[in-house]
Amino acid sequence: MLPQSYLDSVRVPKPEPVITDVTLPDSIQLGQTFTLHVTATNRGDHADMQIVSVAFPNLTRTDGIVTIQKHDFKQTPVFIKAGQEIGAGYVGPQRIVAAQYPAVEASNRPWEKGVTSSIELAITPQSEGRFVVFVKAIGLPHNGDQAHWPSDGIIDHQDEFVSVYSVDVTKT
Amino acid sequence: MNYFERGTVARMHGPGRKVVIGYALVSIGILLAASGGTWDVTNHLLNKPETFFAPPHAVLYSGAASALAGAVLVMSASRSAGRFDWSSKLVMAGTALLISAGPIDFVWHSAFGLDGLLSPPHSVLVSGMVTSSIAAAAGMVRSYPQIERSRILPAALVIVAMLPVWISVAGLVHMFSLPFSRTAYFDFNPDSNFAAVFATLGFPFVTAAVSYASWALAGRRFGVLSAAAAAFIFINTFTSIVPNDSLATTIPFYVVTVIPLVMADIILSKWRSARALLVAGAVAGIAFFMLYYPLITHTYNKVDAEKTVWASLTAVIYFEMIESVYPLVVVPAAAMGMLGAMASERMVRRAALAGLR
Repeated sequence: MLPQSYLDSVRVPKPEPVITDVTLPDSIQLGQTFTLHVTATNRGDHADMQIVSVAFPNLTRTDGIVTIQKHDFKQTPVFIKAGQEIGAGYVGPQRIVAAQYPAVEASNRPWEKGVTSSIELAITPQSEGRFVVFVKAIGLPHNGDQAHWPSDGIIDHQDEFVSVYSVDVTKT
Repeated sequence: MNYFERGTVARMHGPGRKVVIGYALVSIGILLAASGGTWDVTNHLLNKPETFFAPPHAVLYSGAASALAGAVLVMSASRSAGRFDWSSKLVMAGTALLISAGPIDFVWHSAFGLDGLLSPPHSVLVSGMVTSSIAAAAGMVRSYPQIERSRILPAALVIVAMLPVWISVAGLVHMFSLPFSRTAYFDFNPDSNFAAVFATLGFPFVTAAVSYASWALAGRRFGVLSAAAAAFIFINTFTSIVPNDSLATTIPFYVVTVIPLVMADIILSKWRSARALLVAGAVAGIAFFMLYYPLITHTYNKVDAEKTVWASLTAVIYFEMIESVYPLVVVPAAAMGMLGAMASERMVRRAALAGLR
């Protein structure tokens, strides 16, 4: 009905989220608090929304364990509780699953090309062993493999790829 | 009872200047408030961080202040004359609803956090806008000294009177058809099929009714309908399209939506017959699918594709709908456009007859 040349001008942007830095210690002693610093950018086109997710598969709750120290995201980061309904499969609210473990989600809406944001969490593990953190970033609308980071690896409870980091928590 | 009996206030106040200014202030106020409200909906859709002093809020509050000032002026003029006619009473009731929506909204936010588009406070607000704008338009028609037999109001006043009616009634249709009303506490989202049917019937009706009334009140001549349509498109461009950078390339598409309404204006002005009313109504009615872009995308998406309408996908999804949805709604839209024009003709004829008394 409309000229194809005009329709072609209505181009869908292709965001490309990248986690550029994840900083955390290799090990700590039980009872100590460590700082997790995550930085992300968008190397592609404008994203209507880009999310950075930091999840804690060892935990059942984050109260008293994880606190947000500082961030420079446009929207206030939110805590996702285990059991809470969340989007999955990179399609957001079109596919809903229950979270199996807690997470912190930080987002910019919109997230312009080249903009970098970071978040710093203070974490106090409650038990010894390997404290695992899953990190990922998703650009929305998700319209290709470039719109998520990492592009491969472990699949999480949302059927989405995550990069795995850990801290060894040892007894004092 | 003739609801458009006119001349009473005009006779009581000589030219009725004060009361006409009051009604015009109410109309301008509702125009600002409704436009600010649409701009605010767009910003919420884009999730732009906002404060109490955000520009859309400033426009909305300025509009409420103007409407209040106008209502006070109408009340003062009516009191001086010792008589309150129905349009002045309705203006006061509508303005009271508009002003009371503020504290109701504050209480609702305090109790339930963020509210959706369809909520008790927003219902009060939109009811106030619709009531005030219709009452102010009727008040102007009743109060303005008649210029000549067929010309009921000057062109500028027709646009001032009809534009807020158009935008606020369209806002009412949006409120009962857009899927923006689900919150943590309540799910007031309309059923998606009801929403699509309501939009398909409501938008063409209001478009044709307002278009026809604009043409008829200004003396049944070419120009005012086109100007009102251009003003509507201008306002919607700046409140619904410009804030979303992703839609910038669709502004030319949206602006040419004025063409069918100019055609309706030409049909009515050049082809003066009962058939012209029906054809012009149908033409205005079927233009609804373009006129109410981009918000209408969200309404029909719920029954068509049910995709997530991200800001940057709105235009793409909408253009797909022109092929998948528009052919299905064009016939009912044309019928509702005819009905809207016929209803409008009856009301304008009553107004004109009342003016001859």
